[in-house]
Amino acid sequence: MILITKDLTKHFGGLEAVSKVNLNVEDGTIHSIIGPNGAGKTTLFNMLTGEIPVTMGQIYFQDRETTRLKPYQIARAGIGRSFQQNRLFKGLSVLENVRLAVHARCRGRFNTFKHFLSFSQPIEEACAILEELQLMGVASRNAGELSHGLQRTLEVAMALAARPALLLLDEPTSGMSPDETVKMIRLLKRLGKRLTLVIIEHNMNLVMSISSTITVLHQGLVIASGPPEEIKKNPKVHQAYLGGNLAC
Amino acid sequence: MNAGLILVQLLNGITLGAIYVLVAVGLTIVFGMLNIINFAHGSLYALGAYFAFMVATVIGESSGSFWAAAVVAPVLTGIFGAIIEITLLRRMYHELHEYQILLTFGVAMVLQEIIILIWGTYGKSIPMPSQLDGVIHLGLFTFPTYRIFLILFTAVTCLGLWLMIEKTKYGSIIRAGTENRNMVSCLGIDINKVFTVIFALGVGMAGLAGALSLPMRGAQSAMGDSIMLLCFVTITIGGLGSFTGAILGGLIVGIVESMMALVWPQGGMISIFAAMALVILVKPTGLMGLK
Amino acid sequence: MNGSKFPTHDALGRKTGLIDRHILIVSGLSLLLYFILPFRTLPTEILVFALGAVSFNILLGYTGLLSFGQGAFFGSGAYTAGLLLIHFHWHPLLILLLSAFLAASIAAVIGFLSIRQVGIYFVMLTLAFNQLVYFIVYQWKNLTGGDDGLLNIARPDLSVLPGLAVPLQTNFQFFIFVWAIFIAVLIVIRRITDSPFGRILVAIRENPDRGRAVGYNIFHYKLLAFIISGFFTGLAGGLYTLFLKMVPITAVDIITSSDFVIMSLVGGTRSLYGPILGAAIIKIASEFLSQIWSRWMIVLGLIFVSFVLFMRGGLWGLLLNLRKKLFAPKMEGEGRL
Repeated sequence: MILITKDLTKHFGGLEAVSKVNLNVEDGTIHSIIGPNGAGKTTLFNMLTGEIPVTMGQIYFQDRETTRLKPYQIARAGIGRSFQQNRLFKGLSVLENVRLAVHARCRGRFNTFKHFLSFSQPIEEACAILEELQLMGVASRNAGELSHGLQRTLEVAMALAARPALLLLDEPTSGMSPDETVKMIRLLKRLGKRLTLVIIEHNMNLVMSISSTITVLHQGLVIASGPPEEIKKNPKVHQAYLGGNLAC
Repeated sequence: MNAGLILVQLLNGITLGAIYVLVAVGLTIVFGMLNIINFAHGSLYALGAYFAFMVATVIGESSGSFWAAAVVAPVLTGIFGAIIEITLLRRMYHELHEYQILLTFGVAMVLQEIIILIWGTYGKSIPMPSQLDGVIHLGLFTFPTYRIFLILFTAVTCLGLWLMIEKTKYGSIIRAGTENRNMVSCLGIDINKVFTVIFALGVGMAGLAGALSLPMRGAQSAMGDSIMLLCFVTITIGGLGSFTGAILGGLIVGIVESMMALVWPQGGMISIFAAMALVILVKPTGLMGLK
Repeated sequence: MNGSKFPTHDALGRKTGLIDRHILIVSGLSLLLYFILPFRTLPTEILVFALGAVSFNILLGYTGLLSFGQGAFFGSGAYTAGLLLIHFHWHPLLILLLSAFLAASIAAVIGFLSIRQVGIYFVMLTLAFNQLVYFIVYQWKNLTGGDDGLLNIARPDLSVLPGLAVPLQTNFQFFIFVWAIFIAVLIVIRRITDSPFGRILVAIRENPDRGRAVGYNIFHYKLLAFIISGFFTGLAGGLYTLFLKMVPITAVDIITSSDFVIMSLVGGTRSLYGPILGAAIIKIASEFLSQIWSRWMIVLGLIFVSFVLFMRGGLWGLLLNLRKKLFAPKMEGEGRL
């Protein structure tokens, strides 16, 4: 298990946003987290990456407790994260965005004496990531000028820059056109072969087709967890989605 | 040092605090509701004092001149504030705080100079209104009537303001507008007008404070700057965006300033700013703060 | 990893040496100031304030931190230099270095306490600390002279070898001294902003949350930015003391802090050189206008307000736009800053 949470809980004042969530993510798998809006999925992610403090419970990444780590420590530990609302360096070029992200774990982070372009490793790695994500064509455009779909893709690139063992992706396809979504699905499958992915998604096609495990969250609680076939048939899951179909 | 002296200083502190409360409440209303930081608030306090001076001078020596000034000056200041809001601030609601600060800072600079241009650099004052010129006997000591009036007036004003915002229909529009301006617009209410009124109200409070402080402290060209800093200290200690925080903060600052004059006169300002730094470090949102 | 053949200079800019044509142009123009302006001391004053503004802009333009309390650092440097000059007769460069170090230490403390907050709280904290320093200086009359400041400070010559000293007494001599230091510091600051550290500051300005999420300890970087800014601001303060041969209490006043803010905004915060332009324009305009109208600051304030509303990029931004419109747009990594 690359990621384990034990009774992870988050209170906001009187509201229990996440209740005693036990997550077990196996190495090398694609693990999806689904649930209706407000189920606590992003809050869960925020706890995993240290963005918000944990009220109760523990988080273990690669057998090491990371419950109280700050976001920058989580990133250095090997967890990459993309956000539901893009967090990009909008005024900087796409390449610079990824280069900055890569440089965070390279030599010379605090160097004030050499020109940043003399550090070739971050540049090369950034180019490699852009190539893999087919973003090279817009490398010199400012991140803020990109179309929404490309920005979402850049979000994923930023998460990849940490050379993570674990990728947490929060709704990577939100707002994307069908074509873009197809490309993203292909990308996720490719990434899934060499990394562990935990994905929050609303796109059931995506979730059902690529996940090895699905965890369903509803009002902060885990109501089901298992392989896609089981989840599809689970009556509690159907009910959580207001009796809607999970037919895909 | 006897009990009487301490009590007098305490009351002096509350008097000072009352002025700070009025100014801080005005700033809080604007920040709490419009999410905008008005660096020019202090200059508008000064403007209120100078407007009061102008009105009282125009009316001349009469027992009514102060009262007229105390009514007209805040209104004039409020109108002036409305003009600023409409012409300049309206564009800045969605901007970074830094730019709002810079803009209102520039406005403060211009206002400061305009005040000097019109009224010169010498201090101005008006006499106390005859009805309030005197002292009240309070057991161990006597205390100026005007200051008691100021304290009571501030208390009543804050209560009235609070009632209006919390309990009346117009107040609920204001509160709703700050939560979700789009929704309020959809309800057919002109949110722009609401915001202008809020800003004018907040600024009017500063003008009122200025007008009321005129017989007691006079008006000086630098009064805007000094009150601005103290106002920041007040709302930082009390809590940015909190009505009760502004009251609490204002009283604390006034009392500390006054009591320090007994104990360590040179250290008054230092203590106040050190206290502010301490609050930010320990409880950054302020004593009563929520945001 | 085979390096991509992608021409990175479109996306990242080109690598430049320590001295390139920008530096040469700025050096030349600033040197020219002395001969163009009809004043003998104004050019020196411009360079001192330009240095302070550029140092301030490390915080605002690069890191996105609106520090309204730079006067605390400028003044600390000024008073340190003043006291050292009065009580000891050390080498002016040593004195400048010590002034800078003291200011940097104070910046470390103030920065450490202020950076814990963001937005308006941060700004107010920097203001409050500036005021705190001001009142301490004001009250500590024995050390600082209080309201009067430190007076009658002798400006030493620059000793190069035992027995050989470069005189700094005339306006021109001192101007060249300040100019040389100014250019040297500018080169250093430019290298800092072009370094990986400098790029991270920009990342912090653009999106600090993303900076954290990719593994940067944002607090450390902000603190270092403060210390660096404080260092060079203190250096400027020391130069100011040597220039005036006195230390006025205004050196530590919020007025000085606002000066740097105004100069940077008017000149342009999105470039290293903008604040230099701003300092020159503001100082020259003030000099001319103050002789015409005693309330000339109204004009300054109105100009400032219009810049905040309509010309965020400042004059430098305006010039860049003009250049783009007049010549074919050559994106030499201008999207960088």
